[in-house]
Amino acid sequence: MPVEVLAKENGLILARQDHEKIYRYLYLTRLTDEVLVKKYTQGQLQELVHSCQGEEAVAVGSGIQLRPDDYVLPSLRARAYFYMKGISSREMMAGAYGKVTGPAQGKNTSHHLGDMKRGVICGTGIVGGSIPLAVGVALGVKMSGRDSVVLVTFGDGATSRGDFHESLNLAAVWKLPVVFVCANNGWAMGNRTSKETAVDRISRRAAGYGMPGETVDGTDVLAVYEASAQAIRRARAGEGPTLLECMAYRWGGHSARDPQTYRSSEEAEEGRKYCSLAKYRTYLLNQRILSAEDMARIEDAVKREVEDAVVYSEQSAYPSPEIVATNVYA
Amino acid sequence: MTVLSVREALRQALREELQRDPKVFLIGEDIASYGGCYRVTEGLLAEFGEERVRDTPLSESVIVGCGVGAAMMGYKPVVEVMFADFVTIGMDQLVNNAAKMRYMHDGDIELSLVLRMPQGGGSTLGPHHSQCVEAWLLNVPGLQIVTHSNPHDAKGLLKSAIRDPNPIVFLEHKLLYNSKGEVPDGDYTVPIGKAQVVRPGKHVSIISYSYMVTTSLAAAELLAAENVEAEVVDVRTLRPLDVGTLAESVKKTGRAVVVHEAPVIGGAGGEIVSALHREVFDYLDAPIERVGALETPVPFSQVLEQAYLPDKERIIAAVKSTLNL
Repeated sequence: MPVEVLAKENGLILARQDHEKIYRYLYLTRLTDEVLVKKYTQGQLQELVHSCQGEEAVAVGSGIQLRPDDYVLPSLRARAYFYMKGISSREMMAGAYGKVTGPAQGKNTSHHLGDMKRGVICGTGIVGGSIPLAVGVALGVKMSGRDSVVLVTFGDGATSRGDFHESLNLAAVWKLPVVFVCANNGWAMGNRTSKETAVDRISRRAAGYGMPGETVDGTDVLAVYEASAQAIRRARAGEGPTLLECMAYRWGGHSARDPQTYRSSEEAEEGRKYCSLAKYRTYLLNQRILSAEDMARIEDAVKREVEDAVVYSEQSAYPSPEIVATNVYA
Repeated sequence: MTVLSVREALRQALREELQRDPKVFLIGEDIASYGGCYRVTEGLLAEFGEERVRDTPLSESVIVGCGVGAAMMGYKPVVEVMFADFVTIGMDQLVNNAAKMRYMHDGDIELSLVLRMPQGGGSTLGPHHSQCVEAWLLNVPGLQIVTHSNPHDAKGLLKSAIRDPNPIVFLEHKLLYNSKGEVPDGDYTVPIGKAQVVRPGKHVSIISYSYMVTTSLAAAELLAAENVEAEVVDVRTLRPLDVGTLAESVKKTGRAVVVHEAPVIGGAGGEIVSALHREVFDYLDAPIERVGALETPVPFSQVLEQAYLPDKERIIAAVKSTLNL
């Protein structure tokens, strides 16, 4: 089975508004992704879409707990963090279109955007390149005596990089406030994770660096929430870093251009059974936290938000060539 | 004025900047307890403590990453990579993050970072502890690259680099650490982006940087005995290059030889020659010559290493060829 479902009794007590927020971000991430994939296939986007369908709960469950003074370094497949940090659907969508109203006036893609004031650090097209950077950000946080947390996310493939190991090691030695979130979606581009890793759980690597590691069901947003809460608490309390592995399954290809010659459509379909949205909907209904009508209302608002973002992006201008050489140096 | 070695001048710069600005800190392998492989940071741990003078594991990638990340948090890290050859391990963080973060954030960040590295051969340290790496980094917009050839510039330029809001690669040379010269007392800086004429002359401009300025000056002395007056210009900052000062010299002399220790092909000399070319075309009495090391890895055994490195004789030969002598 591509994803092992880890049974977990969630003893979490969240307020109704928290559940509404979580549901909204899950749905917003899913819908935006579907729209982006469609628009990309129609040739309307400049940005190559890296779908995060199947993994939404990893970002939502962990990111929803970040404070404004916390930092996040999202991977290429972790769109939800941007929304949770206060970046608008409009700016994200305009970025995918390459418009001047997108991040950095079009100098950067939406999935790598940075916004220092909101605590979002630009991603890098070098997979895993944010991991050593996150350690530096955490060093700055610790040196300043703040209790902010630095959350860096990456896929299972990135954990094969040498400096992933350097980063865990140094973060543990210096007890830096980093939460390393690994979305293990079973695939490193076109290669199965099992062909790239001799260890059955990436979280085991944490023990090699003297830091806690945990694996949870990455399609269960509350499981991710609970494990993240502990990791964030540890970091804030000065107890050092954690490696949190969230098991999921990558629904789409590596990117929207990926012909997916490496897996059968049956297997891809199997993977779609692990749906964080469906799982959470079931939970909310069974626990009578939200009704079907409540969820429909949230979904309608999100649909309008995404439609507005599309219209905004289509109407926005492309950047002018005059800005191409600005802000290279201070 | 006090006579100091380059090592002492660099140490003073670090010490004064650590005192002056609480955001400055040092990070690198063996810079704290060991005092630095070339002893530049000796004594600083005792004075400033391990929060501000930090030893790291053997991890150039995360070391440079720490520099970039902490700089984005408003700190002024001075990262030491023990030998410039090891920058290869930190290249992703340096080239893909440090050089590009400001652009990708469209200016909305701080990134005041200095990366100090000893480079160069002449100490029989072999192929992996002797390279000059400036050309590897020169083609990266977003970085600045600074060198020095004497204690005065070492201290003044390091202070400027630390205060500068941009990421700066600060290249030191192993053979210069003991080299002595006069250094003003008190605080002073030397501007980044300015070359300097270190020996006036009228027959040819020898344009060089780092340790090769020393070799160029020695060549100029020998040439003077043959009535060839060479002007020696110290480039100092490679990026941004002070084409104006270089051009002014070549327009005066009509001849130029560009000297660096790195091998010629793909070396920074090619950039200097090309940048000059348009400015001085009508003033040249001969093509501009380049002198650099041989196109080989740096050999270990002294005889081989000395054959590899540019020396006074090769510079003199190049000068003479511009004079058709």
